[in-house]
Amino acid sequence: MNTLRRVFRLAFFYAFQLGFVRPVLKWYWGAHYRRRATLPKGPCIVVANHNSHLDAPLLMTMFPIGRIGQIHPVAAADYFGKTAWRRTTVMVGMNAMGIERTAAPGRDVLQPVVDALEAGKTMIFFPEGSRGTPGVIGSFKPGIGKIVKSVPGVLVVPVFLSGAERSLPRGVSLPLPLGLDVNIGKPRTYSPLLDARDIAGMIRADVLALAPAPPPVPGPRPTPPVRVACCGIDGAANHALFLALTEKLGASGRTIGIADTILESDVAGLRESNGVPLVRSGKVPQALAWVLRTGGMYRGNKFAQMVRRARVDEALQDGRTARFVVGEGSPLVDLLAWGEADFYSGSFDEKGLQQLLLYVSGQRRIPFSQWARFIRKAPEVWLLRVFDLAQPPAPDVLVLTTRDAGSAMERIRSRGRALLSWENEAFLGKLQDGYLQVASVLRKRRIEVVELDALDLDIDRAAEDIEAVCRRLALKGAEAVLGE
Amino acid sequence: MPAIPRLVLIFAATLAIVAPFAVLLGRRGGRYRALPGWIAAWAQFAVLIFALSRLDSTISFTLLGLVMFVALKQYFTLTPLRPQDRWAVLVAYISIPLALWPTWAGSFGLLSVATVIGLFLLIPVLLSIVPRQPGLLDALGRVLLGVLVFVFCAAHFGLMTRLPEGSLELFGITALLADLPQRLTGRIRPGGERVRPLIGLFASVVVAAAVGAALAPFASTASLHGAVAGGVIALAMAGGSLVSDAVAQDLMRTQSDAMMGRAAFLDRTLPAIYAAPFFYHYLRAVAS
Repeated sequence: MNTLRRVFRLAFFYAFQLGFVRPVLKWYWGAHYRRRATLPKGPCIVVANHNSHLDAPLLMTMFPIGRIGQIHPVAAADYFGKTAWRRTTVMVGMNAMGIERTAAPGRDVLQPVVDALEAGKTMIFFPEGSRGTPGVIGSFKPGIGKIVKSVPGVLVVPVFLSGAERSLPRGVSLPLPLGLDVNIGKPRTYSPLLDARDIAGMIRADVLALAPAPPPVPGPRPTPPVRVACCGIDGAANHALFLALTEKLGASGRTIGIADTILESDVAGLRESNGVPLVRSGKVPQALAWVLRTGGMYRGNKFAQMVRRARVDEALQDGRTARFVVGEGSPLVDLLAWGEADFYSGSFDEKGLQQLLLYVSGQRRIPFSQWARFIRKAPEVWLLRVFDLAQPPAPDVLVLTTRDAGSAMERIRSRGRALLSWENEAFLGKLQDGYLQVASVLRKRRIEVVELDALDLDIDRAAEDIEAVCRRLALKGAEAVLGE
Repeated sequence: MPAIPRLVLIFAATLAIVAPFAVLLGRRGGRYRALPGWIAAWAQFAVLIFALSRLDSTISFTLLGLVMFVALKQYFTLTPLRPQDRWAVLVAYISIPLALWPTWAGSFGLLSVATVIGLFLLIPVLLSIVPRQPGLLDALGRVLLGVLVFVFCAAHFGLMTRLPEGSLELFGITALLADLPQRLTGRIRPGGERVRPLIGLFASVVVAAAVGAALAPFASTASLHGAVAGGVIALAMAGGSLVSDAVAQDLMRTQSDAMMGRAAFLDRTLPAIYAAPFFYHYLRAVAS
């Protein structure tokens, strides 16, 4: 009898999901999912803001059909177990796991969730507890923290849902067809040593970080961010300056740091960012990097990484996400300097450099007659422009760390790893000259250039000086916008 | 197998010629960046036009209804709405079949009664009947603009099926080629650059008039009326672009916005939808 019941339940669940939930969300609401590829293949807890009965179905449909049997939204048993209709649609149709919201003495209501996670299931959890006021993200209850502590190493996927609070908010029975957006964040783990409340607070911050910027009030448009690029042949100095600047500028306004990982900083301090949403996929640059095996600094994955960084920089242009953008390197400056350094067995004179600047920044296209030269000398630039992969913006402040090529080589050798083909004294000297040449070209374009000697570098003092320059530029930008 | 009408072939050929240019130009970035998305939207629009002119009316009007629903949904997704506007928004959706029925019957009089008198007067009542809160006039403007453009104006594509055969394709080809020069030079915007967009508008009128005159005989219309209709389409599309720009600016939405590019649809669809009533009424009232 029980087997028959289980078969009926399973049949109803799949029929409900495939015949109703998925088609309706796709065709009636037209749900959009962003970064679905980041979903882990194994068990995890999906955590989202909660404003509507559409939230759980939306999160279920993020996953491929083959996995939905393993996914359980956690639902309030006292509410959804009340009537036969709710029991059928939610507990059976949505495969929900009911938990009591008020615990009996000596009983842990969250234990079934912990057990399910340990058994390899994926749980959908709304830490706010109930749907709340539309558009308002309430505090996250510490229950989510307790679960994370109980299952050390469990992956938590933050998700921000928008649109459902307008389509079917609490207290409304008529669902309106309005677009639904599901913004999926990077899965991460939390230390089980932390307090459950702190974990809940951190997860809430991760969910909120995925929220789209609200449309600003009518009036002057937001000021574009002030961009700082830390460049030069001394990678360690660049990195230290990048970290110090990102942290320091965070105190003056939200700052995004673009390096191999994206950082963000504000009054709460420096941390790893959940990422900047990008409109275009990274598959094309990856495929091009793999197929064409571009030469020079941007060989293989480095090329795809450079394109991604340029796109992140582009996406921040509207000024709504960040007031300052700090880059460890700059795709534009680096490409120009490497071009100038004669790495591609040719040379760019001053005029050539100006021209290259226009090509790299996307202000001018590479004439067809020049294609052969660019494919040979600067394949990255050619790929970037011909496939319109990105338009790297120029920095407002270029921080150039200089040091003599000999000591730079000593530092590279001291790492103890095999040297790359370009890591030699002669080339580093040329590269340094390239950076200086690029700096002089950028100076003519009224870009602030701060030159620092890497061997005599006081990071804190330098960061303070550059911060003052950035704040002045930010103020100038704001005044310019107000004056329009 | 029935012969494919000449205008259908010309429309398909126009798309096939313009598309590669749009994609290549799109790679140059700047103001050309939106061209690939624009031509993709036109390809979808062409499918709708072919369906309306060639398929059985039950199928084609159902498709038109679905397109109107999706467009209205996109519009309301972008637009800020108050919770108490729900009934008015629902009525706006229900107005789609109400507008399609007179369109299917080929009666503009009935469409006027259903949309202008029925909806435009009913929606303010629905917005006023709920507990009063500030922002009524704003909400009214938002809901009525949606109904006006995406229901009333869009319903004219259905009415065009009652015009002489080929009129829909004539509209499609002329509107596509009228839109192109304005896209290439940039649109007229208050406070923006003047000379180049004006050249674009002039080129748009000339191209649309020439194309209209050349193709009108295939739609059983005199060349002169085809030329005037082309000019009217070009001017109406410039007006529609101004409206879409202003609406997007008012909503502070751009293509790279956090709404996953939803705002782009306003820019791509509104000008052509805006031009449909001008073209239909010109051909119906003057040319015939």
